[in-house]
Amino acid sequence: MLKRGQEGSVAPGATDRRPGRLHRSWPGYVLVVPAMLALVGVIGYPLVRAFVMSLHKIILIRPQLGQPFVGLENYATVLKSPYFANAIWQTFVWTSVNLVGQLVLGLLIALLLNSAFPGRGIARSVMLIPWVIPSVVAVLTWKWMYDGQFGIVNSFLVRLGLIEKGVAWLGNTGTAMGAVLIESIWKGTPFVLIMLLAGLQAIPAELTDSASVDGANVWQRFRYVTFPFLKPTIVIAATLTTIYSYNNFNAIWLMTEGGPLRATETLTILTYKLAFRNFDMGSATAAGVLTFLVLLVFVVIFGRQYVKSQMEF
Amino acid sequence: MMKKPTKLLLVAAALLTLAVANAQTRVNVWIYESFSGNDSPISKAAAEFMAQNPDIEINLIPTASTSSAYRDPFMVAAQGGGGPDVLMADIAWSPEFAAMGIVKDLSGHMAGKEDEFFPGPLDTLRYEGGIFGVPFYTNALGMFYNKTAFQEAGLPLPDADWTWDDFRTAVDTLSDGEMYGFGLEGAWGGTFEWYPWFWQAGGQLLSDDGTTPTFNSEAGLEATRFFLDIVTNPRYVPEAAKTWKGWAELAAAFSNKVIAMYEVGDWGIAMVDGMNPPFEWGVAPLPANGQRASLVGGANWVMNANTKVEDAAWRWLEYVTGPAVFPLMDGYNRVAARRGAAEAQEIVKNDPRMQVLTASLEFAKARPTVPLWTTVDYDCLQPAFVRVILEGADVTSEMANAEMCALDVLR
Repeated sequence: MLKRGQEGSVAPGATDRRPGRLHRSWPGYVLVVPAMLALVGVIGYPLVRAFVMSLHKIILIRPQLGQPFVGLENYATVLKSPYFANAIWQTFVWTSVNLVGQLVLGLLIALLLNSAFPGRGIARSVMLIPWVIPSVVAVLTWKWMYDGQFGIVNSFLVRLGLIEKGVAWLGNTGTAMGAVLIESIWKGTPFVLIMLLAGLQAIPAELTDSASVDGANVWQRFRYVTFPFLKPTIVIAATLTTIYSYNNFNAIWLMTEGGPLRATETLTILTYKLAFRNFDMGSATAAGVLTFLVLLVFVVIFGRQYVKSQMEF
Repeated sequence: MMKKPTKLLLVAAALLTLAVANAQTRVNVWIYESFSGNDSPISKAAAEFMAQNPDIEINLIPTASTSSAYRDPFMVAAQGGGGPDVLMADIAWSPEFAAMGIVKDLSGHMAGKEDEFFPGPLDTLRYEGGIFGVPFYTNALGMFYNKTAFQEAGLPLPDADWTWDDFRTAVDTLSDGEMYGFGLEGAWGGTFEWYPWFWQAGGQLLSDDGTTPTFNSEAGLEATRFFLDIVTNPRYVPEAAKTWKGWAELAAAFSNKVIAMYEVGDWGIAMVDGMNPPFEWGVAPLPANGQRASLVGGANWVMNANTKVEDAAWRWLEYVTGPAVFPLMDGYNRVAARRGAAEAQEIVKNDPRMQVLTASLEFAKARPTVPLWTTVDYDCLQPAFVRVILEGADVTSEMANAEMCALDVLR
């Protein structure tokens, strides 16, 4: 019996190594050359350059020292720094809570918006608003909402009797990360929602209808019909959310600049500070390369999950 | 149909226009986005300059003026051999640019001109014997105060003779449960507002050779204790101030009677006026403690080391910092860094609040012009102050920590 994808002469994704194949398809390769060159220019070159810089001592405000080769010294300096360990932890908290929060909320809202109810079209449009607002505008708005004196968040909580007086949510080490996370989850959830909603709409209604006829309850229909179909989309959404959250600089920088007392200092913020506050480009690029490698691990894991889910499907 | 001579004339005119355009030297100029606009004073100054110098074209390029959107892109561009020919730059950035070698030493151009500028702003441009720019506008911190609240509380209005004790009494009296006596940019730890108190106590931030931190001194501790005693008192300063890091937040708090006083410079006047506060308010010099002090702020012009049009760029700088700077700065409600501003600028002559702030320039000081001072401030002093404010840490031990940190940074 033929497996899925073996109907034709070559399985999708496999390389056709027959002689003459390359010769016949050369116009296609020529056409992608400009795009490939552009990618090498804007991605490949900076990556290589950053790696080379990370092996040199480059202190911008001390040009007289030159840029001597120091091997892995910058990496050792960064790894030994307590600020790096703190940034790793903050990045883990920041990325994982963003991931779980956006996926869970996105899935719940997508399931809701996939069901029929009056005003569904309007509800779908409204849910996209956070996503279409420019990130700087959103962040500054939230910053004012959190303000300890004038913020609507405090006003609301005081009226509910949950707090006695305004709290500086972004100004205390115990609350700053949570406050920034709420903004980030609010801003990022619609993107996950759109992807999952598209995935849900691709599931044939007959399948869930059949399951209902067979007596499956809501949870069973989700677990055994909806979820398996949706899994590849969830993996893609999770991958993109992880990458976006991990690299997100704007939200944290504009709200707290990594403070107070480094309570929201993620790897991207630390890298920026090393480069543009300490002017230590060697250490900054070393931190940048390490940041990239950590992200690469996540991407590989998610990539494997995606392939696995496709194979299962 | 067009006749042949007419066509020839048009072609000749086009060629002439092209030739004139080509003969012009273009000077690319970065300006703060807040200074821009078709009818902005600096656009008019550029037009006036170009009318007087038809061989030069001034191309104003407005750029968002935060560090990350303005300073950093310039650093990157200049390191790569590009960037504008000249740019406005915060006085705190000047030593950094000079140390990186990305701006030109203008000592030669400035020979004989140094006395034309206030010494404080000019000092921010000195680095290793050179002068790496031209002072543009300047300001000094003063104390904005709610005059009505002072009068209702029976307090004497602050004047040139008021002292630390007077200030503390005013803060205590005005903090009545409805209003807080003082406000500050707490997200930065309040170091920006702290500098003048430090100097008023007789402190010195760095050794004369700029290599050793000297702020953890008796004077430094006295000023820091006095300042942070007030800042950490929840009756005197609102909790919300822990996150304030913009002048708009302070202006809003002041205008809405949340705080009775805050330290700010001339840029704050238009902000508060624009909010129409329902009370009378005034500006006082900062209180003294045996000696007076304030903090110099403002912007300089610097020239990119990569520029290919140094002569044209210098002619623009000479014009825009010359006598033309007085009406130009009037348009922005700021004080020129050129001597004679108090007598020549309408905004100073007509506004007693500006007069107080301009008079404070006489005793205002600049932060150290060593390139890593900003790092010392961000990485050493600010965390120490924030630990005192948020965690109730001990001032003495935190100042010692800050000193060790500064030693490490400056090493």
